[in-house]
Parts: sequence; structure tokens; C-alpha cells
Amino acid sequence: MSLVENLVYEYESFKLEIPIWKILDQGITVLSGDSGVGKTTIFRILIGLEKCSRLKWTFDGIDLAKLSVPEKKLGVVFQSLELFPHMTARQNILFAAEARKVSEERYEKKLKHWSETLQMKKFLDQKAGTLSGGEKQRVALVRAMISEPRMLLLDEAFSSLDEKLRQESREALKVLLKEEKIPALLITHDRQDIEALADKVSVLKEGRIVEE
Amino acid sequence: MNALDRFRAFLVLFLLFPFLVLIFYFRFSFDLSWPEFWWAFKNSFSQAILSAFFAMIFGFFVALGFFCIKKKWLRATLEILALLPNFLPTLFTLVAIFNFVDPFPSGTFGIVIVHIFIYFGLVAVLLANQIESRLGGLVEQAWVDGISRFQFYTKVFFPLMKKDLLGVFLFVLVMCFSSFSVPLVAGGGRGTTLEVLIYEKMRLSTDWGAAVFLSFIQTLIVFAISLLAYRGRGQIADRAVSFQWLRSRAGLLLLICLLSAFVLGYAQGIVDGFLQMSFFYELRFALFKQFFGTIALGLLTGLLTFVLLFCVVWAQPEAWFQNFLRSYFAPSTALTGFAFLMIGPNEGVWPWLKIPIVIVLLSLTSLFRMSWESSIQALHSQRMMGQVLGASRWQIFRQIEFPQLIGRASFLAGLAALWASGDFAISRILAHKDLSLAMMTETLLSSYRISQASILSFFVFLVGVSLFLFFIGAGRVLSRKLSL
Amino acid sequence: MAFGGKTLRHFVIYLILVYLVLFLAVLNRESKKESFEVSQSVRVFAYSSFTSITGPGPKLKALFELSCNCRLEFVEGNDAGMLLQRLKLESESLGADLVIGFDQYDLQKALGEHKWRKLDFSNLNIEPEVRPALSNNYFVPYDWGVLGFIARKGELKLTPKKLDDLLHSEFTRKIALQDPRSSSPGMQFLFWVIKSKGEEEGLRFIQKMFDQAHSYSPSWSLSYGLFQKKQASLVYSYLTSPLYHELIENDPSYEALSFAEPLAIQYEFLGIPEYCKQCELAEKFVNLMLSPEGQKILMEKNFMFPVLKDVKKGTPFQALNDKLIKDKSLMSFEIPSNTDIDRLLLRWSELRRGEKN
Repeated sequence: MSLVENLVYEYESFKLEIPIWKILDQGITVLSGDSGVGKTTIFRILIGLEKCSRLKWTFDGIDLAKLSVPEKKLGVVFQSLELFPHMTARQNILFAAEARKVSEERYEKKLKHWSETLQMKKFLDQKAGTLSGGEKQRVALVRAMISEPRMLLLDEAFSSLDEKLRQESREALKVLLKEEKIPALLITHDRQDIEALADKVSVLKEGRIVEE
Repeated sequence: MNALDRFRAFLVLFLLFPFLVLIFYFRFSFDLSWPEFWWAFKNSFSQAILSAFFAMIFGFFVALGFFCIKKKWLRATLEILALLPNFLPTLFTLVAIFNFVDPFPSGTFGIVIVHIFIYFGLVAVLLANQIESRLGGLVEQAWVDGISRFQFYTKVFFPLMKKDLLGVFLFVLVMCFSSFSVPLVAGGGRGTTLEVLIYEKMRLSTDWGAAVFLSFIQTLIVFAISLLAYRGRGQIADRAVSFQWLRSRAGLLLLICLLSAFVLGYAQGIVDGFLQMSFFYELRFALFKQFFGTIALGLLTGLLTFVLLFCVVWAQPEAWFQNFLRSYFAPSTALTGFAFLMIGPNEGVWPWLKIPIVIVLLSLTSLFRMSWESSIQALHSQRMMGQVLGASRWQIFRQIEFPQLIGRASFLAGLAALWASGDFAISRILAHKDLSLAMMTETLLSSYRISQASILSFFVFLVGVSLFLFFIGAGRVLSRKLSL
Repeated sequence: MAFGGKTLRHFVIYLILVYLVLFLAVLNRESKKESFEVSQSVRVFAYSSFTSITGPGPKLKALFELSCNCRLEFVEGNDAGMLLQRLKLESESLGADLVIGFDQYDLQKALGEHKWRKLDFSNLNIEPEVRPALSNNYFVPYDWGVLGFIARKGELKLTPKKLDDLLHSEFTRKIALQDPRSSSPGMQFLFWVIKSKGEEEGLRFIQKMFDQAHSYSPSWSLSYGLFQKKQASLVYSYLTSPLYHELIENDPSYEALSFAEPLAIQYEFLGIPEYCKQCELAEKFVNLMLSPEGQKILMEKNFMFPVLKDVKKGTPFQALNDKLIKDKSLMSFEIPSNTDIDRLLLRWSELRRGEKN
């Protein structure tokens, strides 16, 4: 179990106050709630993109909140995916591998394996800017996973896909997480995401976590 | 202070360098006639604001005019021609305007007319570029949605382009603020601007302290105006879109009118010049050498600009640093030139190094405001993603920022090179002899040879444009290499 | 910008190649030149139209180097005023051996700011107009010009014959003048008017001239360019200006106008700074400039009158002199004090500021 403590954040009239929140260290924790309730802010705070001075996040005995953004070693998929448009799908993945100094051997092996499982071969050498939504999605996922992150964080990662692709992406996510044995935090307001993926659901309401 | 902070401090010191030198040597002196100062200040301020404002409006319409043209080569040619009035010696521009606007109203209005004429083309080229890269699909969307032009401009265009417009506006403002010949010739009684006063203090009264003080005030004013700048964030369009909807035939017509007024007057001089071609034969060795001088100065200036622009990227993001770049404005041209004259030797290769450095010092923050800042900001989310993925600063720079910014950087470096190839004012201060064709043009003008000067100035322009194209081309080659 | 990709690439490669080859060629030339060595070099400060290829500088330099076993190096500045500034800022580090090109309005400042070597050329066989300018101990005039108005022949209905004629409505906005704050002919005009009419009356006249002026250019070249481009019908310039068009361009359509008031003279001076390193060579060069040969070069390239007697004899310069100057008085020589210059400029600026446009 990883433990988030003292997540307090205020911006104008918007307020988050989470004294304690448990995130699974195996399987998928879902953070759900209506739009605009602050899910993405929590997401950004956990990654370290927003300041939150008293935050403590214990994971495997380490306080992640004390680490810098890169040191946290999190795998992240933003809602906007944020692929680098000028690079090919392969270069995007390689970028992450280089960043975390993943061995070439592992990179080759994983890329080969995943591109087969996720049917990515045919577009690996296309510029990311020209990929379709589902393709981008898969690239972003693999990019986040290639570096063996501590945990995978996804923010509304499927929201831009149609139902069929969404179903496929959920499957892909499940496969990847199972193979890599990495816990994940998924932010979504989609009922079906919760039903298909959640091992634990936390609901955010009026700035507080209401656990289910 | 970490390494990055030291790097930022170094960049800031570099930009402030002329002021530091001047203050070290001269100290401020406040021995000014205040009514005169106030008068000059009012003139500088009102003419610069009005000039920049109207140059923006004209330039904007002309930019929309560019969208009427489908043929790439034609558009490129017109864009280049539109830069001509900004580039040539003031005399040719003045003659064209005096032919066109008759009787010419001297005074603030007169100065504004000349400045509009000088800057509309530059504004148009910059704006057309930025509209294309910034608005992207939104224009098509608006067209399809059938919203009115008015709504489009008020709800989409201005909110999104606000910052770019302001950048270009400030760029022109600074140029007009420090304009020297134009106010004297076209300003009538209002021709006394701060820049003229600075020159007067320096040259006639030998009161450098007062000149430095005036220049400092001038910088402070622009600083204050810049601080009003709105902070926004830009996006870069990633697909080709049609700008048909925005195009304006009237804008194209305006461009053609302004250009033909200009070209007619200027072309006459060129024809006369051709009739005296034998003169150039006598000068062939000097011309040959100065041709290379021009190329060398242009290339060095462009390269230095390119490197410094990326230094600025490396030093991002830091609020105070950004604010400084956005608001700082180098002291008057002559003062910056003299500051560099005073330090170090001025022999041999030194002018070749000093002239590009001074040109870069004078233009860097303008280039930053004009479009570099928004280009950097457009990569903000990618930079963040890179960080989250654990990439080092160097990896982010090398793989994300550099490849995506090369295009814009080489465009700006090309502009700097174009400017450098036409410069004579700075070169004249720092060089012991004619180094470039532009200096030679000026020399010809001061020895009755006006038609030879017009033909030479056109040649200088061609060299400048080829330098500009060289940088754009080199940028493309480089970015293609990187993406392989 | 809109440019095709492939064409552009070829263009760029082509450009690089061309530049590279030509650049190497120039480097090659340069290195050959450097290989011959000379023992000493003289540094001469001068304004740019003196040192430029169209000016007298290069010819004088070539002539001098034939016999001096030295090299002469020009250091140029925009104009004499800027040259003095530069001299002041860089001072001894620059090692100027000779400074060429200030006029009588710069002398006071030059004397105040620098120390100069005494020069004695009093026994030169000099034109009577120049004699008084030789009376100071430090600076020697090397050429002189008379300033006045230039027009295109046959263009004016009324030919102005005295200053007051300039106020005629035919010339409203038609006279190209120079700003006295940045241009020495501009200063000459101001003093010409003041000397001819007295200070108060002169300034009233100057004020009326604001309506007559096409513009006040920051430099002589800009005002003359405006005139050449037919923006103005009259320009304040050198009486020798039409000679340039006649002799070089075969264009006899310009004429210098004669005025009732004694005309202003500009003397161009040279001086040797006290800290000169190659003082003797500098003096040798001065001697060359004041020799009949040097004077001829100066006259023909600078389009100014020579100071030595008889040099212009039999030339169009003499003819011009006979026609316009011979029997009339010119303004007498004086070195205006800095305070006079500052006061008049200030009053000029105030009048200009008060103007309503």
C-alpha cells in the first residue's frame, strides 16, 4: 500500500484537502469524480508539477514527495497524451528509454514484444503527429511503461477514443500492467473504465476523498 | 546560485554590457535642459506609439493580402519586396514617399507616414508568418462554423494573437523610438526626439554623461511599456490549413500601391545607375572585397543570433529572466557602438567580431519579443512531458526543443543577417574602413554618386536576401538531418 | 515564408559553394599582399568620404607610399565631429599620427580636448582667402570651399540674389537644408545668416526659413540627395557641386547661385596630435597634401578649392571662382568659440521647437 498524506491545495476558491489516501501498490486504483472537481490537479500534484509543500507520499518506504519530478520515476499518460509530434512513434519510445537509461537489450526486447501484442508494428516509424487517436494512445502507454516506472499514472487516458478502441486500450493496459507487475492510478469519470479495470475506487467530492 | 542561474546571469550581463561600460566610463550627468528633454520625450513617445500602431494596421492588412496569393514563389517575391523599404538607405525611402505624398505634411504626422512606409512590409511578413503558425485549424473551423468576421477577430484572433501582436508592436515601437534621420527630415519642429538629443549631447556638447542618461531613460520607457505586455501561451499548428477565409484583396491592393510608389522612384535610380556601370568597373576590387565583407558580417551575425537564441532556450524557464528579455532594450545604436569601441582593440579581426556582437545585442531582445518567446512557450507541455519521463535538461534540449525550434531560429537568424548586411551606422563607428557594401553605398551617397548608390544598395539587398534564404535553407537542411 | 523545399536546398548548396570559392580567392589575395613587409606605418584619421575609393585618400596614400618606405593606414569616422569623439574615447591607444578633416567649427573643441603639435606652414604660397586660416599654430587648412545655393538651370522663375529672396513664395517648402546640430553645412548656414543679419534679425530670418525649408536633413548627403531627386529646387551646398556633375557626369544642368551677402567659407584642417608616434612621417604626408600634386588630387577628388596658389589655374575650378567669387567679399575667417556655437544651437533648437507643425 502506498500512502498519500496532507495533500492540501488551494487556488482562489478551489480547495483540496486530503489528510490521508491509500493507493494500491498492486493492481489499479481508480480516482473518480465529476468533471472540474480537481482530479487532474491531484494528478499533477502527485507527479510534482504543482507545488504542495506538506505533501507526503510513502511508496516502498520512500517519500516520493521529496523527490524531483524525474527522480520520482513515474510512468505518466496525460489526457492530451503529449507525444512529441516531430518524432516517430519509435523515437518517442526511445526518448523515454534513453531518459531512464534503459538498457538497449531490454528496450529492444520490450519494444518488439509490445509492438506485437499491441499491433503497433505498422506505424512505429510514422511521425507521431500523423497517428490516429488509438495509435497515439498505444504509443503513449508503451512510452510510459518502457522505463519500468514505480507506478503508472493515467489521466482520462481513454477519453478521446471511441468505444471499440477504448475496450482495446483497456485490454492493452491490463496486459501491460500484469506483465510488468506495476501498480497504476487511473483518473477517470467513465463508469465502464471503473467496471473493467478498478481494483479499488476512490471518489473525489468537494475536495475530499470518499472511498468506496 | 546553481549553474543555470549563473548562465542566466551571464546572459543578462552580456545584454547589459553596453550600459555597464558606458556608466563605468562616463557616469550619469543630469545637466540637461528639462524643457528640451520634455519636448524631445513627448515627440519620441508620440511618434513612436503612433508609428507602431499604424504600421501594425497597414501591415496587418497587407498580411491578409498575402493570403490571396497561391503561388509560393510569387508570395515569396512579394514578401521580399515588402522588406525593401525597411532595408534601404533612408534617402530612397524618403524620395519615394515624397513623390507619393504631396504635399508632405511635416510634423508628427509626417514622421508617422514615413515610419509606416518603412515598417509595414516587415510587420506584414512577420504577422502572416505568425497567423499561419498560430491560428492553424481555427481559421477553417471558424469559416465552417460560419461565424462573422467581427466575432472571429474579437473572440478568436485577438485573444490568441494578442501576444504576438504586442511583440511585433514593441519591435516596431523600439525601432521608431530610436529612429534618427526620419524625425529630423520629416518631423519639422517636432523632429527633436530623444535619439536626436542623445546624438547632440554626444557630438556637439561632448556630454557623454547626459547622452548615457538620456539613453537610460529611453530604455526605461520601453521597459515600462513592455511590462504591460500580456503573458500568454501559444500553440503551433501542426498541419497545413487554408487561410482563404482570412485573405483580403484590399490588403493585396494596398501592398501593390505602397510597393509601386516605392519601386517607381527607386527603379529610376537603378536605371540611371546602370548607365554609369563603368564606374563600378573601376571599383571592382573594392566591390569584390566588400561583397565578402558583407557576407562575412551577415553570416557571423546570423550564427551568433542562432546560438544566442538557443542559449535563451537553455536558460528557460525563469520568470525574472523572461521578464527581463521581454522588457529590455539596448541603449541607442551610437552609444552601444561607442561602448564597444572603448573596450579592447579595434584592429584586424576585431571589427569583424565587434560589429556582429553589437548588432546581436541591439536585436536579440526584439527577436525574442517578436516570436521567439511564443515559440519557446509552445513547447512548454512537451518540455514538461520530457521531464516527467525523466529526461535530463540536455536530452530535452537536444531532442525536443532544438529540433522543433530550428526553423524559427533560422528565420530569426536570417532576419538578423539581413539587417547586418544592410548596416552602415554601427559598422561606421567600429570599423576603420569600408568593410561592407552597405558602408560603400553610404560613402557613394556622401560623394554625389546617388545613382550608383541606388544600384549598389539594391545589390546589397540581394545579398542580404540571399543570406536570409541561406539561413532558412540551412535550418531546413539541419532539421531534416536531425529527423533522420 | 513560402519557399519550395528542393529548389531551396539546391539554392543553398549552390550559394555555399560560390561563397566558399570566392572567399578562398580573396583570402589568397590577402595573404599575398601581406607578404611584402614595410618597416613603419602611419595612422591617419579622416572622415569616410576622404578615405573612400571615390575620395582623395587612396590616391594620396599611393603617392605617399611610393617614396616613404612606410605604410599609410587610414582610420575613418563618419564625419569630423564623430572623428573627434572617437579620438577622445580611444585617444592614445589608437595611435593617431595625423587627423584630417575638421572645419573651423570643430577647432575650438579639438584644441580643448587634445594636445597638438605646433605646425608652421606660414611661408606657403597660399591663396589670399586662406591666409587668415593659417594664423593659428596647430592646424593647417588643406582645402576650402564656399557654400551657397545650388539650383537646376532654368527651373526657377525667380533666381534668388540675396537671403531675403529665399522667403519668396516660390521657394516655400522647396529648399533642402541641413540640421545644424548634426551637419557642418547646416552650421555654416546658421552662421552665415547670423553674420549677415546680426543675431536677432538673423534668428527672425531663420524662423521664417522654417516654412521655406523642404526639410532639415541630418547630413549634407541626404539633403543633396533629396535635391538631386528633384524633391527640392534649391539646396545649400558647395559652389563647386555643379562642377562634379559637369566633369564626372557630363551634366551641365546645375548651377551655383551668386548672393549679395558675403558667402560662408568652410576650411578643412588637419592637425598632428602631440602623442603621435610617426610624427615625422605624418608631417611628410602633410607636406605631400600641401604640394601642388597633392593639392590637385584634393581638388579633383574632393571638389573643393586648393589652398595653394595657382593650382586651380586653367581648371574649371578657376572659372567657377572667377564667375562667382572673384570680385566679391567672402565671410572673414574666425574660429567660433564653443559658447557661441552652443548658444546659437540652443536658440535654433528653441525656435524649431516653437514652430507650430
